[in-house]
Amino acid sequence: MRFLKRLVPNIYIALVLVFLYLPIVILIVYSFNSVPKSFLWGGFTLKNYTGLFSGSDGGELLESLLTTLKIAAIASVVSTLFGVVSCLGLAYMGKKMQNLLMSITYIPNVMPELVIGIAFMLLFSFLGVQKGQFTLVCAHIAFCVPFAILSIDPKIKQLDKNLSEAAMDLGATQWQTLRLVIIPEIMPGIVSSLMLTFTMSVDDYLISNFNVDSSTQTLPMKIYSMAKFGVNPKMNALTTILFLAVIVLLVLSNLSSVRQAKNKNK
Amino acid sequence: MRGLTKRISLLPIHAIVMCVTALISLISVFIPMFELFVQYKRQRLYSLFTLILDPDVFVQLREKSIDLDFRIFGAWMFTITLIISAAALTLALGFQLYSDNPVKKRWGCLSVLVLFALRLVIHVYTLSNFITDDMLNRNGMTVQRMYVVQTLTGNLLCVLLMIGIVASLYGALGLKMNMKLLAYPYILWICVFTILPLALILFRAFFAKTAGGYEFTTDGFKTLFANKTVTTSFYGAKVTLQEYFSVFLRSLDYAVWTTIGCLIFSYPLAYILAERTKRLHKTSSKLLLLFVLPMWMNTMLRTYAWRAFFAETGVFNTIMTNAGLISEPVMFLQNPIMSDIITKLVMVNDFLPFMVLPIYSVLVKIDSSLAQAAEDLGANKVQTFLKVIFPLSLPGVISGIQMVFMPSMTFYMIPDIISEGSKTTIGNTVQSFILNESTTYQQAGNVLSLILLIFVLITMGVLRNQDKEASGSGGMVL
Repeated sequence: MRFLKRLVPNIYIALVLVFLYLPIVILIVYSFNSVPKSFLWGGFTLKNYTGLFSGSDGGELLESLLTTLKIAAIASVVSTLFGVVSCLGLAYMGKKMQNLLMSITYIPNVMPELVIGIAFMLLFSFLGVQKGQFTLVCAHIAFCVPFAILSIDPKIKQLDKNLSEAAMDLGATQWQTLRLVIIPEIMPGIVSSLMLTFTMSVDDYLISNFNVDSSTQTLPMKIYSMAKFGVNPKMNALTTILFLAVIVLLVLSNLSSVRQAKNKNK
Repeated sequence: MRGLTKRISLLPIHAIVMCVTALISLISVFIPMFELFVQYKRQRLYSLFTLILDPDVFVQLREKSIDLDFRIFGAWMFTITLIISAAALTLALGFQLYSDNPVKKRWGCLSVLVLFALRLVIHVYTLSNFITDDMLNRNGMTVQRMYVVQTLTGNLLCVLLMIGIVASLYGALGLKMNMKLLAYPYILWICVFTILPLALILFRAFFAKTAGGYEFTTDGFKTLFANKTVTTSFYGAKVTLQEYFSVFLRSLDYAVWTTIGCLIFSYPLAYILAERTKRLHKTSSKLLLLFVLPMWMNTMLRTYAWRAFFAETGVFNTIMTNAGLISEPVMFLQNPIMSDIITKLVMVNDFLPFMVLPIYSVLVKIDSSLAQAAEDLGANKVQTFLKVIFPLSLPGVISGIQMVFMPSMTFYMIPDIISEGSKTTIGNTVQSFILNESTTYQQAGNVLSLILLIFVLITMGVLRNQDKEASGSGGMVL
């Protein structure tokens, strides 16, 4: 009976995992398919990986990948920096003002991406800014900032205010306090904000679609427009590589945190 | 040398911003910032430096060649910019590092402010005077066919210069560092990027953009609520409805079922994971990461993979026919009811992590002694769950519903891919309206986004009791 009690939850977890990973497994398997643009299995091949960036389709994929990475890098760094600065300021504001500002910050968080995309498009047309890479970057930064603030703010709230006061009493300047006391304390929040905003920016389709001209295409846009004429196995290969990169990163970050915990115990 | 590093470490923040801005504006002389377009094709990238190196331009077009001469213009701009940036850098560094007189420091900041403003003016001047009327006439071009735009780096430089101006203004006024000041840019930000866009949605639903400005119109409403009916099949039954009402109803149908499906799947899952975490006395579960991981795979390709699974010649049918379990392939996608169910299934698959995370993060925080207390007082397992655990986990459930319901209503890619474009939902209706050439349809799109916005606000109001930490938990897991 006890055995069964343990078994049922595990079976449930396994079933949900199968449900979640089924499409991913299919996707990875099809990245080795030798027949392009078809659900038919034509045999195992590695040419989708070896020739990933050659040919016209590969070149377009590479270009959109680079655009996406560039924009995601700018958006995540800028929004996280802005988030840190704003959270620091917010912490010193009055309680009422803080609550008001935070509840406004939640609005974009629960808005569907479609509405945000349209809202930004109307904003840029109102301000008279031509659609292009600049508006794309602006839109990405703008929708990333609330997420950055929501991941950094809890860490700032946990911060002991006495700590920075003690540092100042001991003769540190404001800049030194910030650099040597506050920033190291909120580092986990900064890292998670960077990762979250980066992945949000890389994965975004709807907001980009409304805020860019036809000359620039991000990877999700490229995939969506290319896939209308059949799924190119090269896209599968590329996303498989990206997925593996994410897994490796996560494993590495987990390993380092485990090692840190062990060192602390010693 | 040690004295210098100490002085640098003592620099106030505005001085650092000033120095960095000055340095970047100096470097930017050598970074390409201008793009020359001739006949809508990008011909060349320029920095002020490359203008000096390579002042004459010949572009071979199909009909003729154009010939541009930037010799004098480029040399002037290059020299002026270089001098201004170098002066700004010297003044910023010099006054901040080697002067202890606060009044002198403020004058230093003021001079840097002037130089930054000049640099910005020169940048804009360069951009607007890159191609003169004379050049256009000589080459027989028009402003539309030959123009220069700023690259992304150029835009970023402008933003940076504005930040630099603010920083030097701050120094020039001799403001004391007050942490509260750091929040003011964010307040401005909220006004521009949250309140203004939402207000614009409301405004643009009633006002159309014309050449001269904005004009009141009800075209959007007329288009949207036009008396035009379509017949669609809904759960196998044929119903005749107003055109866009049927679209709305279908989206609502998808959203409701996706939310219910996610809840049914993820509540037990979150419960099991939370119990496990508590039993092992950990703060968070590594297993949870496995359920979040699929979010990093492109949604569209995952949906195509589902299609590959259910297609006539797809994975399921191939395996089943080869195993001899079915004699002929099952037409999942061609059957309207089956394809409807599959669409909802795929949406559940896509949105599941967004539901699991908030519920888990609330459940894991519930003190397990509460459940023990309830059991001590004579409640059985079911009663404990219904009367203690479930009410306490409600904030997580609510923020989960918030994360799933509205996004699944507007996320049109999945129904689009599974039904191969035959099922229109509110998402692609808005998209096709807004990106339409005709202003009437654009207006209809604006009205539809207003309706969506109102719908979001209503759901937010109904689900007011949101657990704030739970909805921000997406980032915490990483």
